[in-house]
Amino acid sequence: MFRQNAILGKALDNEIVIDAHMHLGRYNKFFLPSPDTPSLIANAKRLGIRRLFGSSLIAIRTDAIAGNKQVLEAHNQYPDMFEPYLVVKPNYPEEITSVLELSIKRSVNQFKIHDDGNGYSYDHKNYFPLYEHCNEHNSVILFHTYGNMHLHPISNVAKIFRSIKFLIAHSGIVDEQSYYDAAKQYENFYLETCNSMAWYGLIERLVNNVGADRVIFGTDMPFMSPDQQIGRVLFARISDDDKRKILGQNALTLFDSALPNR
Amino acid sequence: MENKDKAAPLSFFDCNCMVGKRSDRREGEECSLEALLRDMQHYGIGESLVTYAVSKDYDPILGNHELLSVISGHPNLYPVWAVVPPDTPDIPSAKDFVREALHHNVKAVTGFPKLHNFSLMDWCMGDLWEEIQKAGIPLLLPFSETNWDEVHTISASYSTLPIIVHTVNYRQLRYLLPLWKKHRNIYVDISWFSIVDIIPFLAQHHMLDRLVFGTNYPVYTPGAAITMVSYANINEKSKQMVAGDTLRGIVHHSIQR
Repeated sequence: MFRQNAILGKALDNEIVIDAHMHLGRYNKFFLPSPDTPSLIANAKRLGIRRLFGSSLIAIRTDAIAGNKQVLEAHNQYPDMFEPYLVVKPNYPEEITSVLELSIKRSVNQFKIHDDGNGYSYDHKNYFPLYEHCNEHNSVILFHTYGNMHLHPISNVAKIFRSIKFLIAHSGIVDEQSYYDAAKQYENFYLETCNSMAWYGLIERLVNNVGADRVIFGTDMPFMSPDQQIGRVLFARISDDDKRKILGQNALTLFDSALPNR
Repeated sequence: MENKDKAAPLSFFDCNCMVGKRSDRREGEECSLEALLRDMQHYGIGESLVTYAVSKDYDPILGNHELLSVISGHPNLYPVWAVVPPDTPDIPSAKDFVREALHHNVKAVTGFPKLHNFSLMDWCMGDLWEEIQKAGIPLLLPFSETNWDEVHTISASYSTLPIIVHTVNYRQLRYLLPLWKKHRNIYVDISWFSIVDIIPFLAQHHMLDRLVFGTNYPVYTPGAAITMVSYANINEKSKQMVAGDTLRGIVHHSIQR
């Protein structure tokens, strides 16, 4: 059924599809044809994606305060469609408390961290106020990863903070086995799928290694096309039930269990 | 730009596909002809330009000839030969190489200048570029084996030679847009060129005919490239152009000569 949708380019209107990993905004390193929020929302709707969980690229690159404001405004504008990740930056430790307070005030219980441009390892002490907060509130943290260079410090964090929900971005991009090993070691690890390099058979191997219940669909818009990313799941040689879990059911469970009533 | 016409399966023609055992295979990737044929069926790909792993990872000349027998009997698979510089014992003459390629129905040539240690520039490859341009045989270049300055130089010198740069990552538009403005014979495949809205963006800017369908099989799953086209926010005719018609135009040009 999903394969037929993919071949014909038919939207998944009768399915629950959630994008657990996207961003808002422009980017310095290369040209983006469609970085504006309405275009990204329209792209999601066109495919049948019902909810987007996104962080701000301004936040990731330079200014977490400005970027977090941007995603909260986007949520105000698209309350049924867009859910914000708040970003903390370890090289601006003086801002972290205010971001955590904002998360309580706005009932946002998911965060995104990325070492792009700052180079602080995820087990650096400056992240610990975030981890302590998230451990207390059963929060989701989406970690940007590129193999062992990130998985090792994340595992160091996971040893200490058992109640955080670790959403591991770009799972299997390199050092594929390490993602499976980490997920087997920590049951609170969830493997997110977006990956510019559409490795052959990776979706199938994610399911075979950690089970479909812990694989979560993401697009990485406005970088990766959702058109491209969804094809990796729709054509995968796994059951339709497993595809439904990956495309949306798992994210629904993960985020709704973390979301306080807003 | 909205796609309101009735959807039907597109006719895909893959420019970027390899068969055979690669040295850098990732566990789980397929390498046999049988797997390629099975996957083309699964993903709905009708035709493919096929490069042979032996040509890339062991011996270009041996691999080129083995490829002919590997895909023999499959008229929807078209051989791609790897080139090395003429004037070496491998290719004594550019003219003879191209004559033999045409004799064996080779539909494109490719090159791995970094891996095989040669230059794409005229002093090294000019005679061969001249001959393939005359024969109407397109040049496929993996982006990892070249750069835009080289592509610009070849394109300027051989303005009717179709150059398909494949497995181009999604970060290249600041190079490509100026390049496409200057040259009409440079094409890019969509296997890794997967940025949001690239297809409607190129359609709006009258550059959709620079995009061809490619999967980078078996390194990448073809499913990603298929849905890049099938879900693209453009009309069905434009989708079909990207899915195969543009590439057919390029390749059939060489067939007719």
